[in-house]
Amino acid sequence: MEFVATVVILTCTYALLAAGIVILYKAGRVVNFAHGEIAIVGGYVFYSSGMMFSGGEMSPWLAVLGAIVFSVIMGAFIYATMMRRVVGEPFYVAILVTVGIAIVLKSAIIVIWRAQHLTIDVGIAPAIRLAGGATLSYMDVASVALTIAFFIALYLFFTFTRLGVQFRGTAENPLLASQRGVNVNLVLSLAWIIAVLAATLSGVLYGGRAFLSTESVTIGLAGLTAALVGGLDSLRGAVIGAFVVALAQYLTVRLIDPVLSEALPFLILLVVMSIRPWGLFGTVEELDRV
Amino acid sequence: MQKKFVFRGLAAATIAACLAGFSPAQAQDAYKIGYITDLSGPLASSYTPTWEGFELYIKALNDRGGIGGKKVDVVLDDDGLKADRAVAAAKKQTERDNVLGIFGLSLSSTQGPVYAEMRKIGVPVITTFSGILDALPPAQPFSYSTGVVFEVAGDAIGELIQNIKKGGKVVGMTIDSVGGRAALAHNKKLVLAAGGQWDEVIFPVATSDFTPFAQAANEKKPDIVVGHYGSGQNLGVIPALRRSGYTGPYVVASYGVTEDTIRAAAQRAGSGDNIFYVSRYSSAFDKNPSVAEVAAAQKKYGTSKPFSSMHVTGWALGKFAEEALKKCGWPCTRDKLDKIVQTLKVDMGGLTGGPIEMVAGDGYGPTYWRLYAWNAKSNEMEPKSGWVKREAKGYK
Amino acid sequence: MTALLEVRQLEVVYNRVATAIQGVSLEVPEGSIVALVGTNGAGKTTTMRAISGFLPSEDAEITDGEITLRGERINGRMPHQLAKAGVILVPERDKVFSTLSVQENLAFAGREGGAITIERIHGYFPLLRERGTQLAGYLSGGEKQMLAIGMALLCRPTLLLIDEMSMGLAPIVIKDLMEKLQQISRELNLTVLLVEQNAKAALSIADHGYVMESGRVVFTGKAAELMTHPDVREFYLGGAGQAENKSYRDIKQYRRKRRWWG
Repeated sequence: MEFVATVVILTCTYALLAAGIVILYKAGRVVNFAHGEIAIVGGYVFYSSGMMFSGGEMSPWLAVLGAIVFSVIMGAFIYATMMRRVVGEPFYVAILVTVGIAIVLKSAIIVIWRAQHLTIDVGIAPAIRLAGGATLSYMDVASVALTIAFFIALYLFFTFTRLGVQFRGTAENPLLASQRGVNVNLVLSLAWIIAVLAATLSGVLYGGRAFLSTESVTIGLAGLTAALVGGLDSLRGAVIGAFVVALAQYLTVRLIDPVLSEALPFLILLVVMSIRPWGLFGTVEELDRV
Repeated sequence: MQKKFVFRGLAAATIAACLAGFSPAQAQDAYKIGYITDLSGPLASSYTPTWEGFELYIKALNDRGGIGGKKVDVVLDDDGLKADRAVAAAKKQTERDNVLGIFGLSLSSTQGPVYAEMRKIGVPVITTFSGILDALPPAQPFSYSTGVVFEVAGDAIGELIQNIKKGGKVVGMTIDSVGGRAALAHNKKLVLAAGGQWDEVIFPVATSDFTPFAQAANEKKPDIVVGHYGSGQNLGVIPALRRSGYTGPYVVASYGVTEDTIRAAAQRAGSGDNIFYVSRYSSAFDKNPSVAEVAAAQKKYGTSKPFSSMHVTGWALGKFAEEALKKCGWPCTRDKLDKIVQTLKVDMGGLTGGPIEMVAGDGYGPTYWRLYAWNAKSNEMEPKSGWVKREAKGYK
Repeated sequence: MTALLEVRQLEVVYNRVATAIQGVSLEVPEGSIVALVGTNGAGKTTTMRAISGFLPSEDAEITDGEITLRGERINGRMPHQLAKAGVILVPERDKVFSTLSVQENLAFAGREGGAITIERIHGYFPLLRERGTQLAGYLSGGEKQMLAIGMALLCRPTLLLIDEMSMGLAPIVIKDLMEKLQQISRELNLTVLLVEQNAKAALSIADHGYVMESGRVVFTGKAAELMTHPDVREFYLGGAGQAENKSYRDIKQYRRKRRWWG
């Protein structure tokens, strides 16, 4: 039971990250190496905005508001000032830009938050008691609920809204989309905003369960692995990939050697890349683009 | 509040730079020493209060009139937990600032190279933490430590946890590092010698979600769990252990772990019961005149971090520095300072269980360790044992 | 009456050295269908791209000449600006969003109001209604072309550019499509520029025709006259082009289909 709960919660964290990575890849053929940094900075912002006006006691509403404002501004800013300029450049240029963003954000954690270990103590009281004395907090339950809600919202958006449909069309063929009157810049900014929002949510959940620090940006790597394992252009694959990574990580800790758990995402990545380079649900023809 | 600290740091740095650059005459009127530590890296939360404790002592000392009328001037540099930055800072401090000795420093990764570099040019280095054994007998020249050595701490903890429960199964947890593994090895030796059983869980350095590791530890059905790592890990492990259903004793080995961290971890865990703490220096909650003196200075000068045993640790180093400089006299040189430190004995009052006492070939000396328990009701640390003594010999 | 689209003495150079087209002039009067025909490599596509703003920016450059839409100079404008001005291109390949359903493709471009509604498109191409929920990637070549034209119409074109409409399609399908296009053009008073290798099919519905060869316009005249011109008949209407059309590009129609949800 405890095992299932842990893997499910970890899957949620990674799936949110992987979904953002997949959306960015689909929309702009960008592999975002700054996703972990964005997630953790998002967590820090959530914390700081929650603490802003309340001496020591976190205000969840302010925190949520701060995180959303951050996501919108951050997403639009990254696209408008950086990613828009590398459209049409070889793919590695965009990747290098994201690596640069990652470094800047990590420095921001050090400069603004002094690399403090922060925990987000919202809803940490036990909500469910499992057999054997283990407990799940409200935050744990919320993380599963929010992740499911996020994916449902994503599904509804892409299926039933005009903007969502335009988004999918732009992802497939931006040239035709712009010819059919779609504001491609708006769509790509939106992709970044959604991705940053998902990452921030993931960072907040992670900060509730573990803690935020300059080291915790490595969850970005797990998210990227999940996305690659699932297939970079498949949202369904992102969830499955997240599950594979979470399960493998947990099993390594419990059955093999805990020390290996850090190297594990890379191992999975190597194995998948050598057997199915396009990932579990990816498209074969996408391969030559990366 | 944090921002203020940054600005204060910047201002201090600017002023220090001006002093160093434009008024050499003034600098000659003071004992100049260097302090290097991690103020911005991953372990800043542990090292900042230690520096603050040291700074408090020096401030109080200068306000008293300094040493024989000469003030003590500390040049502070931040290494961000990076070896190259630490070495560069040490070179800068010795070449440009012309310091007599270097204090502080962070992990073994930054200490090792600085010890080695400074040995070449004959500058004594006195660290507050010691990941490596350079200072332990037979000690390397110019290498000293008044801090925590993993091996010695592991050893002391192995004995002290017998106060919680004799025998039984102990599970040690640490990060995958040389120091962590060394601490576990010594802890294990003592546990087995006392007739107990031993098991361990080692996790990667960059771990921040401790849930699976805590579950793994709980599954081993421990009577006591000991954590050999810093603040961040404790902040994650304690709640994770409690969530996994383990309610038994958990022992924090104080490698820079502040009482405030334990309070936060306990709050997150939903319960502060059954949390213990083993420290080389007195807890900030100890009620003795020496700790009260530190507390008073903290009140007077202020610190960015809540008052903790790390401030006591830094204060102790400040006391040690004062004695060394006093004995060195005016003018003091690096060689003379090193000679003095080699056989320096400084009474620590209630800061720890006994004096800091260096002898030739031993830059560490005997140390004293104590078991504390966290009182969840009063949010305070309470002593659970007397001080146990550890000799520095036999760890190399 | 001035033509809706006028191209005068257009010259496009690739990579600064290779002249792709030279001295190309053509006129597309309002409400007419004009065919631009010629064999592979004659410069038709380059001409079309220059008009629609789709010249690859680094490699190709309009070095001379002028393109005007209702008397206003439009060369060098970006594709989306031209799309706003009403120059709508149905490209040769990737003309529909294959990961979207037929309905979604139509809704993609459909704007509120205006004479052209999705209903009307369904009227012209009833098959699109039937296939509404199907992914566009799974449509046959002819159905894709219908959908592409439907989408383009929903963008309210003042000038519709269609690149190689008949490519890879069966003769019967081509005939149907051409007739439909003629009907639409008449009913909506729509101006169409057809760029075609299949000269016979294009000229059969066009009012006016231009024949290109090696980057130049070599024949021009009323479509009906061109159809009977002996040289044009010999070189372009003999059916040789038809066989050539069965090139590797047709195979591309059967690439693995991508889907959005993976």
